[in-house]
Amino acid sequence: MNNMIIGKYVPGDSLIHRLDPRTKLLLMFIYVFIVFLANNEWTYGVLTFFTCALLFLSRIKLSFIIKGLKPVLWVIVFTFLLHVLFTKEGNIVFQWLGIEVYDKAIQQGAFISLRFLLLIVVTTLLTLTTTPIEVTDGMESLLSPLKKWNIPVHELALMMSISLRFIPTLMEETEKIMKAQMARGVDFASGPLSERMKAMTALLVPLFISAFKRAEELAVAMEVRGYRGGNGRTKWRELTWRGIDTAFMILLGFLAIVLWLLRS
Amino acid sequence: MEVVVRVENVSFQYVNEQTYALQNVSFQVYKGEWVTIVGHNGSGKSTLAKLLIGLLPPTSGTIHACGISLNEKTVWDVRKRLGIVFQNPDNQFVGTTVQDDVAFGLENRGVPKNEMEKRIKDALQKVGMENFANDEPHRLSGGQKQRVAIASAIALQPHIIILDEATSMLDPSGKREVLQVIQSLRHEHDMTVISITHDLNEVAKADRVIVMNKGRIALEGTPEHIFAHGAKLEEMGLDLPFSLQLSQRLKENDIPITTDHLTMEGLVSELWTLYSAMSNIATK
Repeated sequence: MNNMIIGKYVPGDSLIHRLDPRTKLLLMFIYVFIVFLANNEWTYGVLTFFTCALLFLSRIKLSFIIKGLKPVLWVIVFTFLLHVLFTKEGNIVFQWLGIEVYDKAIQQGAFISLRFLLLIVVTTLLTLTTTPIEVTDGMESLLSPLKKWNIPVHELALMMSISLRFIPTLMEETEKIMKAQMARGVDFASGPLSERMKAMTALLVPLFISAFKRAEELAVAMEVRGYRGGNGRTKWRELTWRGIDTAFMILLGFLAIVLWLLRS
Repeated sequence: MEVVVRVENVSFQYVNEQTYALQNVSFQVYKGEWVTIVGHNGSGKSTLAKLLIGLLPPTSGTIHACGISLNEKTVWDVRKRLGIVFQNPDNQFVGTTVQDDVAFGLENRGVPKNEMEKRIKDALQKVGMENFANDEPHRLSGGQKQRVAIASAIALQPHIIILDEATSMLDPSGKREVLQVIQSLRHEHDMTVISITHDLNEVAKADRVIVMNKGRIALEGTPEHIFAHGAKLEEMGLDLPFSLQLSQRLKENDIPITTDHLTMEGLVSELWTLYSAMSNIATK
């Protein structure tokens, strides 16, 4: 159960692992936009090459990526089929049982699916090479200009990191409560949906009560250790922007220009 | 001797309750002392802990800590001088890893990064957790988490450490770990320790014991002095340490034990030398 959410990170010491989380977040964010620049064989070729290069640099086993792709694979296949069946452009490649398949349709289906695939690979790569806490730190740093408009960036980041820290604790607790209730005869697994929903209250109510109690105790513990909000706080985790980060951003700029020039 | 905590005529009544949780409680804690406040549920010891760290204001009476009178304005100043370890190991672990947790308090104080590094390393070394700096809390045992909590407290260089039932959720080996760490800290750094507990087994290591009952101080003195009132303690719902009970039973059965042992180690060492002591007497 614990591996579901936070176990995604694959420890490593590759170039991609060591990039500043801000670089990775920006990279992903910009990538999402420039993917849409691609519209022909050349541009998709360049994009695919770039993505494969990232994958190679991350030194992550391909099996991890494929595992991450599994849940969305059918969406990709479905998108492809949809395009193949309903786009009616170009020449008919073949006809079968009244279904006409056009060459442009196959091309477009392939492009759209590839675009989808590339997007997912890059975002998966981010979660595989960056710890959740790094993502939080990166977000806090990137969003810090919003403090000017009184958006509590520090508090949000702290909330996120505390939530991350408590996921395994609450998971453990859920399991414990479930076992305790099952020992008392609650059936979580079978019966009609309405019955199962009812059984969930036996799990959720104790879980919520305990979570609130934990929150209260945690707040006291934080307060006695001197927590009084973000002002005047120093940071233990400092992000360092290095040459390689600048290099990656420039590379990304090049990629965008190349795509712009090659697109039709 | 320098007084670090002075509690004077403190009473406390919870809102909507008839009886006082604390009534006219006065005591002092001296620098470098280990004072244990012990009491059964509802004796007022937890309320006392909350008053000491300024979570609740006393209904009447005053509390001075490190020469500062504790009130709403000085509470942050006073807390700077206190380190507190609470009962639940999980609910006081703020950071995502061990070193992040120790860093949390330092961040709050605005300690610069290079100084932080030094203090974190130092604090983790003192509690013997330096090899776990990058571990996540769910990989640690309860005793280890409490040791991290102690490290988090001492990284802030407090004058006083308060243990608020800090060992009550731990297994025996976890308890031992935590108490050993506290003891070695005290020897090396002359730290004042106030531990609040319901477990008389923890009392043996203290310099002085304050027994709370029904919101009042019932007994005060050295552990030996306290345990001389064994029957009274049992009346208050406290369980005497096993070694003490055993020593008393042995005496009742005419086994020549010299004292009432407060620690298992003491009793064991007397018992295994007892036979040779007796045979010595016999040969004489």
